[in-house]
Amino acid sequence: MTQAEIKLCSLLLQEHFGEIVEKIGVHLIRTGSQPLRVIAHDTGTSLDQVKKALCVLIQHNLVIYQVHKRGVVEYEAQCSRVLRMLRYPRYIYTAKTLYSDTGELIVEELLLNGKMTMSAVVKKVADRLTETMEDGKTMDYAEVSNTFVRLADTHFVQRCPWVPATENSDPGPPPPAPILVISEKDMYLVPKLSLIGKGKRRRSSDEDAAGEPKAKRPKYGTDNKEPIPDDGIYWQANLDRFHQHFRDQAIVSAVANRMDQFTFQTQTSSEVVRTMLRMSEITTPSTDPFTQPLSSNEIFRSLPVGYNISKQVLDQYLTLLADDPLEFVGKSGDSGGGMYVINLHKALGSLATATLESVVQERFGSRCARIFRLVLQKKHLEQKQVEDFAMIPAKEAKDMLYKMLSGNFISLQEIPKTPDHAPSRTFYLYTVNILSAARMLLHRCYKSIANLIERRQFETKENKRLLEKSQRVEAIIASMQATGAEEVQLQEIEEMITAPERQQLETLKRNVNKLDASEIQVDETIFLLESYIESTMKRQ
Amino acid sequence: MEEYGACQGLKSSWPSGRGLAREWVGPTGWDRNKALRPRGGRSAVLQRWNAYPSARAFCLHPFLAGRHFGCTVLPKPRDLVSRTNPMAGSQGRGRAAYTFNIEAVGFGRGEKLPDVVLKPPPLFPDTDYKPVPLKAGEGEDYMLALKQELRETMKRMPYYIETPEEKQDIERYSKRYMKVYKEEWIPDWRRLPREMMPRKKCKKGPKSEKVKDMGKGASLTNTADVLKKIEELEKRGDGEKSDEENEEKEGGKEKSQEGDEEDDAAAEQEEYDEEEQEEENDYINSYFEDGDDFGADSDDNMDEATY
Repeated sequence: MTQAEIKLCSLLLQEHFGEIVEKIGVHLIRTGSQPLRVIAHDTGTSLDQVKKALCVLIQHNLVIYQVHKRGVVEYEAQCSRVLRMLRYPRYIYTAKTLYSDTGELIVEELLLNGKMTMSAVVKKVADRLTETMEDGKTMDYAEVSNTFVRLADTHFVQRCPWVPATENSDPGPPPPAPILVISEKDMYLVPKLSLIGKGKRRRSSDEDAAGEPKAKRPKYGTDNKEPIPDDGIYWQANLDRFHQHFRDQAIVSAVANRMDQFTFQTQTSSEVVRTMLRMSEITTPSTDPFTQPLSSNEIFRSLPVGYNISKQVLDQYLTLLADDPLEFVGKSGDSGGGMYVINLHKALGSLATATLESVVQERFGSRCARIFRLVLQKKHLEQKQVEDFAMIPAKEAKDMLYKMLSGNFISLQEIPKTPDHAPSRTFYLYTVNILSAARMLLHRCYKSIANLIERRQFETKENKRLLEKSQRVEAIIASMQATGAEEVQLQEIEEMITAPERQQLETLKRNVNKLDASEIQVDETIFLLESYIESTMKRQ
Repeated sequence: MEEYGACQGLKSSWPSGRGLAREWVGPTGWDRNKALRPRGGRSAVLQRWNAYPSARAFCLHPFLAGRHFGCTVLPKPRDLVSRTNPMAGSQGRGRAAYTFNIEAVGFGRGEKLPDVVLKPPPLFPDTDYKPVPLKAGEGEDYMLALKQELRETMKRMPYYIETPEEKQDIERYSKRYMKVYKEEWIPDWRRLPREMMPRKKCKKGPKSEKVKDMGKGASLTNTADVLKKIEELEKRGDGEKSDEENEEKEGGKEKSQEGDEEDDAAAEQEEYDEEEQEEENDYINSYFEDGDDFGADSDDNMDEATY
């Protein structure tokens, strides 16, 4: 794990779980797998706190444990999973676009709690939805259950590995840690529950407020006296499936950008590609370089209902896509009207390359970008050839090449003419190694997000006093409005915050929003680059 | 004096006067010292070479027979030389020397090269091109709002473990009312290693702060129950002390310590749930708890105090 990744993990853990969990988590990421006592000793925290922190981390799937010989249990942190915490808003938003509010809340609860049983999820989501509905209406458990089942069927949520049911006649002492098993076919199996009920609205009246501390905070286990029907069956969000969805989205939008600007019919080629991807969703594992071959007839049948293009038009589009130099779609045979595949690996490569090109353009200028694209296209070029092909004066071309070289976007390849590698008799060719440039850019992205988070925390800390004051004022106004106060009184309270302070708050809000939005968008680039690197490494 | 004559001294691939020092093989074979001498030393070598006409006569290479080994070196800015070879400047007769064909890399002869950078790049460099504005749209706005909301929500979840604050000199009045009520979370012990279960070593453990919230929830147990439980705890307190002693005695043997913990954990597993409720029993009923029944009780107590 690089220093930049560790720093970013530390910031994320601290923001989400507090300092103690952050200390333990970062220690585990740095040192690899360790037993409990060593962690406590090395970090200098008490055993109790280490246990608590580890419980939290295990609950959120950030740390796994393994039983080694002699009964020692070792804990290992998963750095890449910690980095996924940046992407939570995107997952939740995607669930919203696919399954509307119910799906969104289900995924949100699962992400916030790590793992939950289905009944707990349904209950919580129903309660939350009921609160947002108008008075008198409640959300039925059945509807939420249906959405949950749909999410499970499309693999967006999956079961966690579970404790195998052992017979009671197990000789010897129980093992130090349960070995969790998972079987492929049971991973999306929804238990047969009959959840009957409606969401409860939590009344916010005053008389309940006093009763709240007692009644609202019962212990988790002892409150429900009835046995939970699906006890022990926990569900978690399936992040890989979301990544597959993002990848498909990226490919479809790339095709749309490239092909659909010139057609009169809106979005046809991207629709075709989207159909093909949808058909291969469940059949093709996401790490394959190609989808399963699909025949043109199948595609025609699976096009969305509203689309009424004829078969010939579809064939034309498919041929056009297959001939495109981007090579997103390839033709793999002629049976069934033509068998077509989507080159996932090539598509990811093109996306990563496009990212690199745009970074070069924004950082160094469009002429540099031209040289970069030239070297990309021609693979290896000498200094002189670069000047000639790019039609840029020698001096400037040199300057740009060296700028890109020192930024590690371009590298030099030496080809010696003689075995002694004399510099005078060696060809020096400029080339772009996409994999290493992508890695370099990814590393840079991690650093930038860490910087963004730090800056945001700094800004918030600087204005902490002002923020607290404004929160208090808002609370006062809200309570006064609830008890019915006059406009004049509200005005007076609002004036507690002076105009320059208001200005300061506005600036703070704008800055924090900008920083947050930047984090989300850098994360999109991280996703593309990581997918490309992963796909390349799998093929090697 | 070494003999430079005869082709045993020079490699067969004759340098055209600009060869690397490493191509220079001494009479005894690969002479490391000579080879890795600073390159400027080559000029000195050339001087010596030129000083021995007899040696040159031995040289049978058709190319260079009769040719004077001139110093056909390129002029080089002093700073570049000093970067690669601190001694070259002085030894190259005041002129710098490249060891390779500078034109291959694209610089013309005699051209001014950019200055050598001797410090790390600036922390906040000026950028020539301003960054592109952020994407704006419904989706992005929603995700932004979500992100900020999630951040706030996470802080209120039971998974957020707060660092125990140091005691402040003056207890702020407002702190009582800004406390966030957190739900208690108990993990599913069946899924976790057995060593994860917290051991009840002492009542005043760091757990007490987290459990305080929970303790308030279960605070109103009967006095009779409380007294009974206090007795149990006293009895168990002796048992726990002996546990601690045991553990310390066994020292660093992890396995046996694990074994101890497991036994105790097994013994205490059933009682764990009860013990969760036992925190601060002594004080619950008779003393005023923060935030608990604030409106109801305090009015009664403070009737006499109001003026």
